[in-house]
Amino acid sequence: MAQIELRNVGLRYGEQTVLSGLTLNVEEGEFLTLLGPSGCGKSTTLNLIAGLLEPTSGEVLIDGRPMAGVAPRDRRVAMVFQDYALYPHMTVYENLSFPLRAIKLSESAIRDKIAGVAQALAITALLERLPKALSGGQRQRVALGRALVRDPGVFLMDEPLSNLDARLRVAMRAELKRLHQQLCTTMVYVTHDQAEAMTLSDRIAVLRDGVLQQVGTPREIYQRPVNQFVAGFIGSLGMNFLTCHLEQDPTGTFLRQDTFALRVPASVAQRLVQQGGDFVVGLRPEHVVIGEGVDVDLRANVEVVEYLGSETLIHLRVGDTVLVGKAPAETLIVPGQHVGACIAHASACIFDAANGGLLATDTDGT
Amino acid sequence: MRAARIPFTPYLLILPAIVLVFVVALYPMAYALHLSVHTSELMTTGAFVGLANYRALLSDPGTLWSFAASVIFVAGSVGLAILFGLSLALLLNEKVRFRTAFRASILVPWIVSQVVAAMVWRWLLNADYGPVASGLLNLGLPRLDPLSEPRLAMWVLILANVWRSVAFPMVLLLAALQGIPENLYRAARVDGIPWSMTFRHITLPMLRPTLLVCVVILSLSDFNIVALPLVLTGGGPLDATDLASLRLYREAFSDYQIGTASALAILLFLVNAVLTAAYLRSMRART
Repeated sequence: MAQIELRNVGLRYGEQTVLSGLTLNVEEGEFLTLLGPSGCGKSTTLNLIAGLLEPTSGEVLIDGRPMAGVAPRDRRVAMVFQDYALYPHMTVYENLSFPLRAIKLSESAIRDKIAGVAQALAITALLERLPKALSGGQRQRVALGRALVRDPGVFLMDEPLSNLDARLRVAMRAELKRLHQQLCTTMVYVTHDQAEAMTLSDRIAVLRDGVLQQVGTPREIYQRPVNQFVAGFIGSLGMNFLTCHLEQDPTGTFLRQDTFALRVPASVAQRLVQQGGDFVVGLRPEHVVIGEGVDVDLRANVEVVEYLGSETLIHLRVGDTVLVGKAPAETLIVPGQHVGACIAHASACIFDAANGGLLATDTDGT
Repeated sequence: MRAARIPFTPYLLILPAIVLVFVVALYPMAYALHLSVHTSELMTTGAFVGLANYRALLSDPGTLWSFAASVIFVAGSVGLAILFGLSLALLLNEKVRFRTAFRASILVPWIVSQVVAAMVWRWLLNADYGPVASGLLNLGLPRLDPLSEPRLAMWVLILANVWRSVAFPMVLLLAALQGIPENLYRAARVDGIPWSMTFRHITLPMLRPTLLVCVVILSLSDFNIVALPLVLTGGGPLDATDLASLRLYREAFSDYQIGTASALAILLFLVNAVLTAAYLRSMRART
């Protein structure tokens, strides 16, 4: 196990800034995921930790030791690549043994190590095969095996599941989680798939355009995203955003757009009044529950209905915005219907319309 | 049901190509085989002599030496061309400055005709006015006349040929190197594989099919080479560079021994056929 520290790390290629001012700690045994869209700098960060790239500013430390000028092989890291990077002319056994031969381990020790890893990953029967004779899932296991045989202090994984089909990806996700629980080794995982990040990670670091946006547990990131970008990126459907203006009347303070209105607690209202301007209310689809009743918060026309089996997604037209909500699977709603929706006020996020930063979650008053 | 029609159009379309191959390849080959088992007087075909031309050739020490000289020339040329071609490809695969200019300068000898290349080398190595000899004399070293020295002439011929042909393996191997996935090298770096092991166990095996293609194509071309040795050494001195291809040219177009020349051509054809079979096998292994 190893601890990783990135101190104000930056990387530039000429005039182009790939990564800037990244400060991040990965604790011993932690599973940290670098999450973000393509080109946000997450794989670059992984390569900087691995030593495949050197930062142009700041420093990388592993177990408190500065890594400037330290070769990848001396960092006690192992890496699993998106395309697995298995040597195509070598059998699975040769692929697994190759790093061990480089450190001149005896043939019997190599055999024992490979037997152990192969058994743990259920690839014993595949040892004599060439990579081209393996399925995607099997290749992925072999790539993991090649990382495991070296007993590294840190596992670095660069989108290792992205080449698998959806069903296999879910299965391998659980297997990775099990592996981490078993090994308790520090893992840094790169993905653009928020579901992978949410299910696997102890903590998630969200990056955008080479800048760290937020680091936190999956729950923190989901419930208290620091800005609209994080809020929109996390969650399988992203977050609904409604640009609202502040209105005050004798009954209270509201954020309003068309038929939508969100009552703002007094503590939050005071700050919003001081700040002025427009605000964006963020609501997760599960916090917009379609249905009729006394506590309906808004009424709107249905534009699209998506039946998912376990539930139904309803797209509502609210002013110039489409709001996605959820309804029980058995609810029969058709496009064009006028329906009511209940808003989970306590779960709403309020963002600054000017810069997208989080101003408050509805109930916390922060 | 309509009766199935024989589609003539495809055959019609490939007919010109078939005619061309027959006229320029199949007919000359069959005619050479025919000539090789007949006597010849100037350009006329004489009596059928069976394998007499072959027997005469194979019992002539000069012919056997020609084949031996060809083997030495081909082995030396191909070996060095691959070695230098691979080295240059490895160099040009790195981010070196002036890479494009460097690459272009290596390609120039390849597009120069064999005759021009031979003339340039003759001038360079001329013992009386060549810059190499002058340079050596200026350095106080003895006069060098490699083209008159039987032990050196073959080396000169090989070097000139390597200079001319090195661009071919370089271009193919550079393309092959650029086709090796970068992640294999990154994985090797992270796994702590030293450079020598990476080269031996990753680069070379990944280049193997291309190396085989280079070896076979260069061998074919070098076995059949005429213009370069004809102009550079003329087979001399003392038959030191009398390659089989050169002998074939001389038998046919200097001595007008068409029957013997045809038999020699058939023997060379067999050598080429074996090499082509190896080439096709290497291509199959690749796919």
